[in-house]
Amino acid sequence: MENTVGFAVRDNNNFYKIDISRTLLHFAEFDFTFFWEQCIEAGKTARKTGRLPQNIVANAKSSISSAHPYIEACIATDYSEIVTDCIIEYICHSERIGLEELWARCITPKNMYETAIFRRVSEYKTNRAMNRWTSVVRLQEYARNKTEFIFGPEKGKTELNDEMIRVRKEYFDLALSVAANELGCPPDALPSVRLCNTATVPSAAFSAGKAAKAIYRRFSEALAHGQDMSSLENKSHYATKDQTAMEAYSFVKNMNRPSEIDMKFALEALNNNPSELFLPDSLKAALDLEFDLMCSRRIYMRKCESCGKYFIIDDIADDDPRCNRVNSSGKTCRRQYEELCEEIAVKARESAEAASEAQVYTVPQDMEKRGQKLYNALYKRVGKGIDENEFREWSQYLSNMKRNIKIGEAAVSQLEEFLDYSDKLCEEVKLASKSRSAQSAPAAEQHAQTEDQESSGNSVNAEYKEMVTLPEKQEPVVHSVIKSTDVMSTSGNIDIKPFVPQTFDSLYDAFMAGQSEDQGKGSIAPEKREKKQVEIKLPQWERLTREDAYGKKD
Amino acid sequence: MEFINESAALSGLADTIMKGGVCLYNAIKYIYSIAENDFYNVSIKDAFKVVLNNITDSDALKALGLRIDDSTCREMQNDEYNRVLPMIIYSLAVRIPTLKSVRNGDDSMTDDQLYRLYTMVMEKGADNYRDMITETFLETKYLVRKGKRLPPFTAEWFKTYVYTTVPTLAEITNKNMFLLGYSDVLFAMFYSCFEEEIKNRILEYTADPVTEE
Repeated sequence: MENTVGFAVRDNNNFYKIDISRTLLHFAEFDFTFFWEQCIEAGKTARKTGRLPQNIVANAKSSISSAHPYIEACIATDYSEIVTDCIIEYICHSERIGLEELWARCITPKNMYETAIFRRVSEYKTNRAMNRWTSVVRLQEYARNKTEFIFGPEKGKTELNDEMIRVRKEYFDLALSVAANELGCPPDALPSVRLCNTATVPSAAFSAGKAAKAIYRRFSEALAHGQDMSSLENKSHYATKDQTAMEAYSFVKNMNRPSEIDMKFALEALNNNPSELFLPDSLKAALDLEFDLMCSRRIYMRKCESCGKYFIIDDIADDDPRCNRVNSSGKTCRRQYEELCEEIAVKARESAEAASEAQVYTVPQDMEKRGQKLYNALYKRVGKGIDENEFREWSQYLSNMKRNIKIGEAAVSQLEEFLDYSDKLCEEVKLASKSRSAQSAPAAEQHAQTEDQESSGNSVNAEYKEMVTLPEKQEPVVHSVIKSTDVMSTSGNIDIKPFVPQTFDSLYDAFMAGQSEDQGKGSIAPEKREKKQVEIKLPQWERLTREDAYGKKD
Repeated sequence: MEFINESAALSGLADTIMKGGVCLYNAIKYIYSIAENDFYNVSIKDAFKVVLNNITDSDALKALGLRIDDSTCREMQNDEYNRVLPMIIYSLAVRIPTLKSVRNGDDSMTDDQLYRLYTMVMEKGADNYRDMITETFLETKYLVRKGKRLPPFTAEWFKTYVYTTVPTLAEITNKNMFLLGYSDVLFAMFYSCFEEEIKNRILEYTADPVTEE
């Protein structure tokens, strides 16, 4: 179905088009700033020169004509004084005076400008005109409010349905009708639209000129004797319309169908005219007509969630709440939103990857526990199944491995391999410890078991050494992973404590601990090293005398 | 009174009286047309304001959308009523002696100047048809000289003439009753403003105009 309709207005022989919904949207969003500025300019010039500058007036009228086709159709009739209206509104607003005062000021006009204002305000006072400018502004607000009322979003509901749209529209119109009725407004005083065709519009005799002339020629003789009905112009026709129509019809009632040539002539004259023509009697009627046609032809709007403006829905099934108009970014709201979504998705993916990577860099809890158990088990057997230096080397290796995992330079699998190796080592150490205790006196066996932790490992047999060192040589992968394989220097004076995670009191402590590890000074306990290295020197202030500072006084 | 150009001044004053008479005559017609279609659209108060602020511009009322034609005041479009215009001018002309009271310092119009002005107005078309207007130039001159109060400028002669001579307006209709009602007020108010207008005109024509404070 075509989304345009034709319309005609009084005192104009041309026909105009309404592009359903687009005309409404264009009017609702029209920016009147240029028109307003032109009018103010015209008013200021007229105050100096005594007459309105016609070029500025023409520009302003041309600008406002583009707001709506109805205004364009009536720019030479109803809207011909819209610039004066705007100037009057500006004067009243800026000088804080009412129309009555302005009228009294111009009651004895001194120039054409004052005459124009006086005449226009007189027209307001005598109900022959209204301020068209303020009317247009109010109607723009009306169009916006009605659009919001009918198509405005409702919380939790995104889909539109025909029934809901129709009910909302009719409720809105009904509200106005109720208000008008309660205020005592006569029914024919409100705007209305008539459905006509090109032959029944008021200007038909002129708009269908050629055919109308041919008809007039046929009946001119009879019409010359007819009663003049022009005196009815200013009277109410509400109750006598049929009578008036039949009066006119009586002159053509004996009309026969014209000859074929005349009919062909009429066809040529009338064929291009639209078959359906609306006749709105005001701008409000034209706006209401558009709302009605939108509902009947299921042309709906939706409010864009990005820019807040209404847009026409091409397909009712399309529930995308964003419009396809290009905004200040140079992209459509819909495209911009899609790009934003893509961007968010990429970021989310990246953060997910980062999170998964971060998980790899932490030592799993079960491996932490396993390492702790191994440490405790080996620690018990220091001096029995494992040499003290070997234990220290092993524990340093474990510690380095964990640190490298945390900084992402070693994999968890490598730690797992090392722990597997350590399990084997531990088993061997246990075996060695048992065989050693079996060699010693049976009485001392029990004592040795209870004093296991306190004993110092001064003597380790060669077999044990072989068992401990052999796996290390067999694990080249593990060695390659660890960056700093600190080997503790052999020293029998250092106490070995159970393994605890490193904790630091301050950033400085942490930094120094790391530094000392990198330097490979493993023979000194970290706590002792740190305390020795930190030397805080307090500033030494010496009091100067004035002579020392500035020299001697002369 | 000393004018810059006495003959021009007197001619100008005669024109002002003529224009005033025409304005009052047209104002009666315009206001009468209100009763045709615009009774609830045009405020008669606004119409009075426009007339009284434009004493010599008879068409200022057009701004209110009023018009004088057969459709709006057919009852006044006849020869009998047309005689009202010279009579209105005459009614203003017989009051010319009151202009003696207009002073420019110690100077005022002489009897000769006043009489010449009266003659000029009469020559331009003023007429007292069937002596409907009882006032005369000499009578007014006498009252002014004696310092006595003049009778008010009323529409009595106008109503009498309409009742007796213009049958279309003598009929009892809504419009004609409206005419009889507003004409009394209009005549009185119009003359008050007209006096002010002609006083300003006289002072304009004098050699040394007195500025109003």
